[in-house]
Amino acid sequence: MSEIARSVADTVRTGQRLPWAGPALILAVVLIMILGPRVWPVSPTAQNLLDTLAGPSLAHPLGTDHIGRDILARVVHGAPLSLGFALLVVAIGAAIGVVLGLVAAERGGLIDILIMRFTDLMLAFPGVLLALLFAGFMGGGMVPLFVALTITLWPQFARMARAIALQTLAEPHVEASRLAGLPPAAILARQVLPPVLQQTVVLAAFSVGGTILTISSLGFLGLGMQPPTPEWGAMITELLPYIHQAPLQLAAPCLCIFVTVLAFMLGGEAFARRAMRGEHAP
Amino acid sequence: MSAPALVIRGLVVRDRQGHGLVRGVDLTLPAGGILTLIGETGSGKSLIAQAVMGLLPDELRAEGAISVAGREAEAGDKPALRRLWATHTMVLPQEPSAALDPTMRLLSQLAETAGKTNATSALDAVELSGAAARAWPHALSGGMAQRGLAAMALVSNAPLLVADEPTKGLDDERVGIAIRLLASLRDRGKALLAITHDLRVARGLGSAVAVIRDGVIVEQGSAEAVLSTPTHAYTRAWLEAEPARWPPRPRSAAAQHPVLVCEQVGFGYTPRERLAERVSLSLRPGEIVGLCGVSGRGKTTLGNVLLGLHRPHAGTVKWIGGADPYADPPAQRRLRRQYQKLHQDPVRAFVPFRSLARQFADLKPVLPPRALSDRLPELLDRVRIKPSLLARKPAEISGGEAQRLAIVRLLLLEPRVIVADEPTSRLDPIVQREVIELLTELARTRNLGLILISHDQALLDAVTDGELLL
Repeated sequence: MSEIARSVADTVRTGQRLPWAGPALILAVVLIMILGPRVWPVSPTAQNLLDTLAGPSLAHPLGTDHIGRDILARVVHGAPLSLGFALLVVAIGAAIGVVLGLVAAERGGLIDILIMRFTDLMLAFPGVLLALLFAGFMGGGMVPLFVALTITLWPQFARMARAIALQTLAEPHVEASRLAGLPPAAILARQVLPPVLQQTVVLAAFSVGGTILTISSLGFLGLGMQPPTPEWGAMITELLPYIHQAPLQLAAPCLCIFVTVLAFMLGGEAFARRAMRGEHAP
Repeated sequence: MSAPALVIRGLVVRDRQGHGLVRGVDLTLPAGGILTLIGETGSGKSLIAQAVMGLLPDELRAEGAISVAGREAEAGDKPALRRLWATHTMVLPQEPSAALDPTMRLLSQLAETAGKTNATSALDAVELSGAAARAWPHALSGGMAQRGLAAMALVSNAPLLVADEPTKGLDDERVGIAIRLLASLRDRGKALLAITHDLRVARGLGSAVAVIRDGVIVEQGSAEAVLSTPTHAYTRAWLEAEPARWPPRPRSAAAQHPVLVCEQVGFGYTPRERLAERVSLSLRPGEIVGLCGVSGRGKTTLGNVLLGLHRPHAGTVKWIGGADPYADPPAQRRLRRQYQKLHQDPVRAFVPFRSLARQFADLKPVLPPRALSDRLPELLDRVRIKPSLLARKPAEISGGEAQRLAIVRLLLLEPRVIVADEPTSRLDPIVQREVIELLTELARTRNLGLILISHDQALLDAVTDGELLL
């Protein structure tokens, strides 16, 4: 999924000409997530059955949905659920993956084989399928969704961390530290972790975009967060039957997903470019 | 007589800030002649070659005039210079095997442009005929690939060949072969501009030599004159830095107990792929033992075996007091700091993204007390490095400085044995001499055993007490 979005970012090439576009968009989206509910303190779940599928007005700048809830409030309150949730999932998935990858690279032998074969096993399943299975068996809701998404994410991070760590561990500076008798944990933390983290940030930025899409897809299928939670994917499911009467209301959550995913893809691109040029040395 | 193969007039290369990297170079290479341009890293010698080929990086600006076999071009006019490729100029690249198309057999590659008869006769001329001519590039050895490229130069019409560091990373024997090959190209009517920091190339090719320093030609003339009676102080210093000219070293005759012994050691990457069998050596304090041999024979691996880094398949390694690092892990941990290694690429022996000062501070838990506060300044002074240099990162210092700092780092650990793995192969001759002199003096004054790995026979002959050929 992130491949598709990455190729979109490649085609747009905005990241190349406007290197700050990605980071700026991320900042904007995060600000909306944090400040939005305060600036627009309308309840996202308050219904008004006398005012359904209304067009934009001063009271409802983005209109109302089929049971009269304010779309702007739902979109704004949905940000922490879609984006915040995705950030949390990626942070935990990345942490698990990086730790396992480093352990595999440093220990080698049987431990390496066990960890990496398990990683391969997880990678062999398409991510959405795995999340779908998991969420399906455990029923909808936040916790199963969280576990399912984390399970699909960590293997990529473990692979990447191991690959970079192996390369770094073969460097003369690591050998010099080992010969000096420095403890392995100190060598890992000071000499191996920084280059791994640099790439982790890039992969994490791409993963946030992909994860938002997965959350929304599962929400759309009814397996993610349940109504009346104003999650973007779930909103699309709810509004899809009214596409002809209320196109603007349906477009709002779609655009939110689009802009947020694009922001993180471009941000990832920008960071990767910086890392390639070696400007960012941790 | 036809026009000279290459005339460079008033070549100036500047970087973005306007600093002159090459400052007013004039060179003339007659048709069918040879000119060897020697200079150390950063002297600007490669920039001259790049300017001739129109290959200067975009951020550099060139001025002056370049004429190749009568075709004039502005030095800054890269497209014009590139149009001369194959018809007037041709590069003999450093890495010959990477320069051949891996998907085509050698003969077909040549025949594509020159026709089969020409290609066959050119390959015959460099003694690549029959099966070798029909081989895929991956099946060719480094030397054969080099001859293949020479054949390519022969079939091209280019009267001027540019060879950038044609002997980089080759051992003595292969250097001789490469030089003979280059000379044979001249015998077939090609003019050759060779860029090198290797005096053996200048001596072997003969003809004309130009010495470049800081972007200026300091001396030029016939190879014989420049190399035997140099007039410029820099050229003299350079010639004296050659290991063959170093004064003989007093041999150490200490009859102390050895600090390192290995007996009947056999090792390799895997038990099946053995590199060497029955290797024995013994090293006493203050003694310098050389380890030489062609690349790929396991010099580095033997060094690692001795350091307790690579378990041998057979035989024993004994550290001080008869402790076997492989059989006795507690002894290895106890003695670890006393058996150290000096790496080939000094810059990579330091963490690239940490300042040098922090990297020295990182060592604090394993160093004797007060080592950083008292001994570090003293050692830095000894190797003539300003403490302010430690604020930089490894990429911001020179190779010579990095190697001296690596030595300081080793000395802080108070080692008994240092295995120096090609410690100067990436350094210029004058710096090489400084580093080797420092190492040998330390071995003598601090009574530490030194194992010097090198493929440079003359260097080992100059400094070691004994040699082991792998």
